[in-house]
Amino acid sequence: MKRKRLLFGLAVFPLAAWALLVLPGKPVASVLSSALGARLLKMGDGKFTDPAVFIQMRLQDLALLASAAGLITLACLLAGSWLRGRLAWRFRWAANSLVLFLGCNLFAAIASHTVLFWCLLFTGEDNTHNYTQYQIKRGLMSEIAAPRQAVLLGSSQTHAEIDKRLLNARLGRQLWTSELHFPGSRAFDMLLSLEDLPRVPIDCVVAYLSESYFYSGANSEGAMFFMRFRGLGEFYDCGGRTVDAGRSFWYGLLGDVVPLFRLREPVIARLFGFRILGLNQERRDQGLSADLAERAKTAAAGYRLGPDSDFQKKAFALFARKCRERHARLVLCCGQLNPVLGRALDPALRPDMIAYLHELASRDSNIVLLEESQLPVQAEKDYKDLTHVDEANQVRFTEYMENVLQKLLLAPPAGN
Amino acid sequence: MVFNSLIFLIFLAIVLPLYYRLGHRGQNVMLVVASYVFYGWWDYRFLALLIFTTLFDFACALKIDAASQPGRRKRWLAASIVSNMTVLGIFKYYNFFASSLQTALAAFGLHPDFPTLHVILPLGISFYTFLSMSYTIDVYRKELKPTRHPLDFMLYVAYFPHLVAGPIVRASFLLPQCQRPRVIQAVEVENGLWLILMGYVKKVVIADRLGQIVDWSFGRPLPPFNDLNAWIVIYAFAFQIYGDFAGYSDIARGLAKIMGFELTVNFRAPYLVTNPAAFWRNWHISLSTWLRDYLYIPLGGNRGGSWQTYRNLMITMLLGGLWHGAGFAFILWGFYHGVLLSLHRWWGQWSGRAKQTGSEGTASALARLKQLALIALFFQITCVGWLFFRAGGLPHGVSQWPVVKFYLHAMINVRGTGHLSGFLLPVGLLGGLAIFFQWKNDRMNAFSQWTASSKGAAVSAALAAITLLGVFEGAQFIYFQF
Repeated sequence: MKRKRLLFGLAVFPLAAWALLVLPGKPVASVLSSALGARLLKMGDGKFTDPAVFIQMRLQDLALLASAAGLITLACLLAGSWLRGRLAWRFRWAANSLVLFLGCNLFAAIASHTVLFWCLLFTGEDNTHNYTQYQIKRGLMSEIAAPRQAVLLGSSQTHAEIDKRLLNARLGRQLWTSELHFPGSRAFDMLLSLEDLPRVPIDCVVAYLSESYFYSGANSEGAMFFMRFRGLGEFYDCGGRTVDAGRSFWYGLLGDVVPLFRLREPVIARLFGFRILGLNQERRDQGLSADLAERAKTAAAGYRLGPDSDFQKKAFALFARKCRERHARLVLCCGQLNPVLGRALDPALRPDMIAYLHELASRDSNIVLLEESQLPVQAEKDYKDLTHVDEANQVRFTEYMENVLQKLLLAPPAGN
Repeated sequence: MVFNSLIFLIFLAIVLPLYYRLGHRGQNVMLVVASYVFYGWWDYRFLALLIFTTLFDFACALKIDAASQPGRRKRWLAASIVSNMTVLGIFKYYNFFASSLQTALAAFGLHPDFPTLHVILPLGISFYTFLSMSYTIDVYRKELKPTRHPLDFMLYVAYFPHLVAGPIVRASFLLPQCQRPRVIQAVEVENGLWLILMGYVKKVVIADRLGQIVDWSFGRPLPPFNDLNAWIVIYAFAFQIYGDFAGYSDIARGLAKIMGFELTVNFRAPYLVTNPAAFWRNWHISLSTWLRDYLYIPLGGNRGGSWQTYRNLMITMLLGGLWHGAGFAFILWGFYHGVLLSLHRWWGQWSGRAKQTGSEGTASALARLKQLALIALFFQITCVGWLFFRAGGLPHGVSQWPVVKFYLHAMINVRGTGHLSGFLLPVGLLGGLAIFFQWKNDRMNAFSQWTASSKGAAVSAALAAITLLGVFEGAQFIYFQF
């Protein structure tokens, strides 16, 4: 009887959650927003503009999480009893363990689609894992009220060159820009992250490109978070068999089957602090030479033409095609690295990249290629390190990008 | 091959089904081959050394048993001990002693040029030589009848769960298990599976995660801190080495259990004790009992006067330190524990409480509080020893003494928490988990007696912890280098 009551309670729990959290969501959100709105906006740091909508959607997330928890517990109890009956008495605990572990993963898979879950892992702009920040911004894209949307994709270079806050402060009412860069991204990662974007209309995808996207190997950090089994076909179509995609690639696939695994770094960053994940890198960085030219020489050794660059180029072409299919104009900045590094690279790389991008743009009218000569000039002194420009140059480049996007707004939508 | 690698899981997936299908003799042959593959995966050339040690001690034991005159028996025992010590001496200690002697002679104006041996240390050499040597000693002492089957003895020495990092199982305990058909019981399989899982939690969640902090701190030029941070790093190492070694021992015992073997318990609750004697009854038990039975007691143990006992304790612990590695810091660590044990013995005799073990339950709340305070205090004392131990693991070419001096100075001059204080949280949480495992040690070892729901919850929690918090870079076990 007690068990039946428990099962019944779990079954009706989602209804209660929706009735309590979603139905009165709008008035509750407006009350909460009048009290907490200013604080929330400050914490959001330009990720959203309307606190009332933000709260209302988080109440929906909470209802979804509560419902998922209730239903998964119910499913675990029922599946556990069913499985236990089929196992020897001594090993019945194995059924319990299996069902519980699967339940945890199912919950993680559902939870990772809610912004609320990622907000719980957020501990401030500089102390939060990149994937957490990415997921929050990604999740909020569907709540944007602006008539048109742009997305900044790519590596930390895109992040360093374009300040989304400045862009949104100036263009936000007509075109809202979500910055979804992922550090260390290469061309294949951009394809993966495009597939990961929510199915909302995106008018424009902007990326700041340099040699690092094509010539610095096939393995990247991004694959760990974005690689999925459904992307395997594209991976092989791009020539994945000829490259070593590294541990991150396999971790990505494992994360697709075991959602808890995908959450490991964000959870560790939340639990133990973001710094612990970067200690190995810190140790490596300490071994680097203080002389930038020396470091450039070491870094340049990892850039080369070959099967890896062919793979990245094919992946990028596929990325461009997918942008067209989504009716999203693709704005590519034919960018650069710090000239110190640029000089240390194989001289064949840059002409190869430019020729490739020209060829791609000539075949696809959806691509807006911003030539090197059109972009603001960036000299050695404008860089903080080998790849990232300083704040003053970020502002200069963002203003340039604002003009580009404004012109695009006047142009007819992509795909026509 | 390390337990926390993909290749080991593949190895196990081949070995276990084969093992369950074979008869007793077939199992032994297969296990010997598998153990040699396991060892040779790291460097097949050192297999010859392992096989030589095994066969030589096997032959010595037979000769000892066959000899009727005490002199002959003694000579064969000496041959066994000398051969084992020669192997250890060449591969582990030669360069250290040669360079130390060279430095010492230089002080007297002598500059001999001893040749340096360019050899790498064979994995687990200290473990298997001690294991093999204890067999011939036991045969010599007539505590054990030697086996006539070389295969059984080869399995005893090379059995892969304990081969490279122990426990150092006595022949009288493990050899009979190799000789008779093993019965695989469901209850032991259940306990074994849990031990393996718990071992992985200790290794990949506690040890390897904390190892990132420790390696970061010790693997760079000395940082400018003079505060609590040095303690935080040493606490991290204390929990790391517990997780690493106790985790290895758990996995080894678990693997043995699912194959119908039993290995000796190597760890209990070493950080929940109040004195050094209790610490050594809980930490690396197989080594401390080995040192007790084959070194401390033959030296006279506590049968002579007080000074003789202190001398024996110091010799035993110094050699125990040296067993861990050829370096000044390991000797210092052994010396430190020798002093602690001597002081504890002196204090016990002086206060008339020599028999107090330091870990018994006490009745009153005040006494419990006092016990907790003593546990906390003794943990700090243990941690000072871990500083020496960690310095012993510094890479070649890095001077150990400045590191020890720097950390000791920082640990004494406690001021604030400074820029490292962010590590307090991981050290606190993972250290808490390590303490929990020790606190519930008996219960953790009796998994089969738990309720089905407790088992289910614990196993899924362990799986979730490994998935979410584990480090999967196949980090070596610290004790492999010994």
